[in-house]
Amino acid sequence: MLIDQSLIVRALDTALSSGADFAEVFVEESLNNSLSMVDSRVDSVSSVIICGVGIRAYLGLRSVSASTSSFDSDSILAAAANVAGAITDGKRTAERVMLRERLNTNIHRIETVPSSVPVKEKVDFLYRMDRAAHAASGFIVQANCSLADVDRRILVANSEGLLTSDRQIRTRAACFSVAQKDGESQTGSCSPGRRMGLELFDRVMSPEEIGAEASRQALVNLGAGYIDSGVYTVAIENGFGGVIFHESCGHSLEATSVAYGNSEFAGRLGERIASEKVTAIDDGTIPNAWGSLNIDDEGTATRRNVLIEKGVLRNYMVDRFNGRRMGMQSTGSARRQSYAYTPTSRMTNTFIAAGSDRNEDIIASIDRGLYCAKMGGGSVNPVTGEFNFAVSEAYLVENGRIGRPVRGASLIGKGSRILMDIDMVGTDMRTGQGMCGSSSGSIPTDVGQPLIRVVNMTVGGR
Amino acid sequence: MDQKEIAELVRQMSAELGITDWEITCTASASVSAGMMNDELVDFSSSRDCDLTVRVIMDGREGSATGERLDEQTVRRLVSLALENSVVRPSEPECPPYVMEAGKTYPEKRGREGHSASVSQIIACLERTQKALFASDHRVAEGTGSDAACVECSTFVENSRGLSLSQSWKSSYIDSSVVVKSDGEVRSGYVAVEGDIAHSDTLRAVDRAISRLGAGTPASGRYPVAFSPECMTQVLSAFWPAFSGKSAALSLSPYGGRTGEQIASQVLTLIDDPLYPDYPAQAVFDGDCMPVYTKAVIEDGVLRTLLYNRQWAMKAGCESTGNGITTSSGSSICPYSFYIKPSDLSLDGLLGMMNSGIYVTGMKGFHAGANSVSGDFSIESSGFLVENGRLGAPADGFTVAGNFYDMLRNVSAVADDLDFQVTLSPFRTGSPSVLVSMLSIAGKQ
Repeated sequence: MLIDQSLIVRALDTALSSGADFAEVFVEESLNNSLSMVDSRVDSVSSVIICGVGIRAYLGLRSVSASTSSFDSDSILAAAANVAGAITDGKRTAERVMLRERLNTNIHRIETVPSSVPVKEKVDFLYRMDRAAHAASGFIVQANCSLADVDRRILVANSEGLLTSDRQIRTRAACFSVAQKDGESQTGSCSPGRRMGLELFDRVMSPEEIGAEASRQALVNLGAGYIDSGVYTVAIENGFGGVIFHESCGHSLEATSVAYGNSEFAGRLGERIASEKVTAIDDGTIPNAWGSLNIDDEGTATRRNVLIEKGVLRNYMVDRFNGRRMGMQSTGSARRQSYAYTPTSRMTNTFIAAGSDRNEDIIASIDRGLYCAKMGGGSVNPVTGEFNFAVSEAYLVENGRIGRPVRGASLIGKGSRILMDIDMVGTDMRTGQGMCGSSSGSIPTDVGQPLIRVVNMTVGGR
Repeated sequence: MDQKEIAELVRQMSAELGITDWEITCTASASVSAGMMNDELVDFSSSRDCDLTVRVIMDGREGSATGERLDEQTVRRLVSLALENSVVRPSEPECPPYVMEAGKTYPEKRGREGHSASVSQIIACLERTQKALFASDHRVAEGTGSDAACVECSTFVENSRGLSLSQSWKSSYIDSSVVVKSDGEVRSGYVAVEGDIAHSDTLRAVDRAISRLGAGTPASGRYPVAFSPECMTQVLSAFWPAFSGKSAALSLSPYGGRTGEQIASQVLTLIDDPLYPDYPAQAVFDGDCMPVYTKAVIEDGVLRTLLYNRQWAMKAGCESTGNGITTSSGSSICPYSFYIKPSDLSLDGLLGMMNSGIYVTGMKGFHAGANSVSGDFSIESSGFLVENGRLGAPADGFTVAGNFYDMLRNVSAVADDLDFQVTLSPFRTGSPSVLVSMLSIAGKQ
């Protein structure tokens, strides 16, 4: 146990002492390692130990939290007293706290815990990635290779008696290649990550495959012209292409926005909000997936949450606190970057489920459009639903055939509109990894989809 | 453990382990923040955090590690991790690692102390702000919220060469996100203010949201484009790495070896100022414990210097510009108050010069839509049409696309309305409104 159970109970009692109706203690100790290589030399090596305690209390629809990076009892109890002092000034109403420990099934087998491997051995992976990136072409002038691993131990206890814990191990490798020709520089990247150990390189992509893929993308962009801006029919490839759903709709289905009516999808459960082709799911239970969790950061077991079923809005992603306002149970969606952030509803692994259209039919159906092979990131204003995202590898489609590469494209639109404009959905669903930023910090999430076709998409270019 | 006890433990361990030099950097911060939605106080939080970075040098190699607990067990673990990390770092005879000797002269901070705010002041300020927002216009709707926070931060450094330094700052901010609804149309506006929150108002967020009502999408094409201060600061935040000496050395910027060249329009001067007057989060020493100073990075369009920490300055054969920043993996490079120098031209005067085009006041998605290596950007934007030199109808649903490096050469005017981002940290970007001769707009066909 990260801290003594009697101290947890005292902290909960202190937080409840002025009349809060619920209190929670979150304890974290994480070791985050990262190393990077540029110019074929080790550039940086870092180890960060993140540890501390976050305490929250609710009174009705008010939430108060405090955190400390110290594990000593005085600091923890002082944080709990701050919570009690800020939430109300009455007397205790909550019943005595009786903790009952719950053990969770761990569905994520870890073959090689990264923090147990000497740094020297990890550096070898980077040399392999770097060599492959440079071997792709003489035009590759730089490769920035990195390897990051996280070993996160959390404990959650609350005034309803929950006491549970989890250990979360993640590994991510990345290569960022720069190709240069005639004074012009272009970039490509590849960054697979999983909730697994260093077996990532055996089971997902080898260092050589990662380096080669980043350089391939940079070289495609080096030869690409700019796209003319305008409105196009767009085919968006699987994998990280799923960022389109994440940005355009996913954030607007989080209780963080929905609870306050700050979402274009608030109050619309049971309504048709998307084309019948669209079934969208947030699933935190996929073994070894980047965004998976045994339990969320409030201790609730994660689950497979069907958000949209054949175009009909079925559910939101809900955390405990916002669930109170919405009259809904938590869906195991509460997440926080660390103990220092207040958790809120977030995505885990979110994707558009496989459909029935063949990839070749989707491309063949486009007379003049854009095929987005790789997407960059994006962002959304959940209030208005306006989203944007960048395309990192794209090709023109003319008369049903994929043609010349183009660069510098971005896609913009409105979430409610694009959901209706998805009119073909392919069969091969794949995911891509990202770090999602929001009010509770930066967290690992998977996005995913099969190849999809979207009509009438505004494409920014030059 | 306090700083002296930590330093003593690291000193003892270094002697036992044969570590040549060591340095500890300890940053302690305390913050209080609260959020109000409509008329409810929905969130309140306070935190007390520490960051301890231990840097060690052994056999000509440097390693570091960072932790958040200041107890003996953690400090011992950090020294071990730092030592393990040093083993894989390449030995660099051209810039051997070092820790700063004592005896340097450091500048004084310029201007006011920052503003702190108590819990009750923060809550009172939020209640007053929310009331004022809702009272200002009947179209202000549910979902309108404000957040306020006060942060205090102090940094101590101590090393094996007898150096002992400290600096601290405190500041407060308030921001408001206003939602307005009219005839089924929903718009939002945002304003953040740093400083004396008890005497700040964010009513401009209401004006901003209302000014968006009825926005239409402009036709695609090439237009003269002016960026508001808020937008140009975002552009600078996305592209400042182009001015890092490290980026230049690694072919990640086009500016390597180009000091003295005209790289931008003559009307453009870009300054990096760690001591911007009256900014509370001024720094007097950098992550390498070098004294800081104010410098023009671009002066009248000419590249005067890139930004360096000690390591990358030595590799480039020049002096550090005092832009080192301590990270968990050692020193890196970062600007301070990094801003475009304003002129004496008013915004009206700038729009008059433009005559017709688009004044961009909202941009989103720089983290994905801007590539600091190629300079390309394509960003979702909103703003106003400019007709006959005056602001006209609101516009949204379009992207502005171009290339940052080309754009710097095509700046035709800067205005006098300098404003900075609110970051509550030593790094922030600032800019007045900036007019660019021609950029691509993707909107309606």
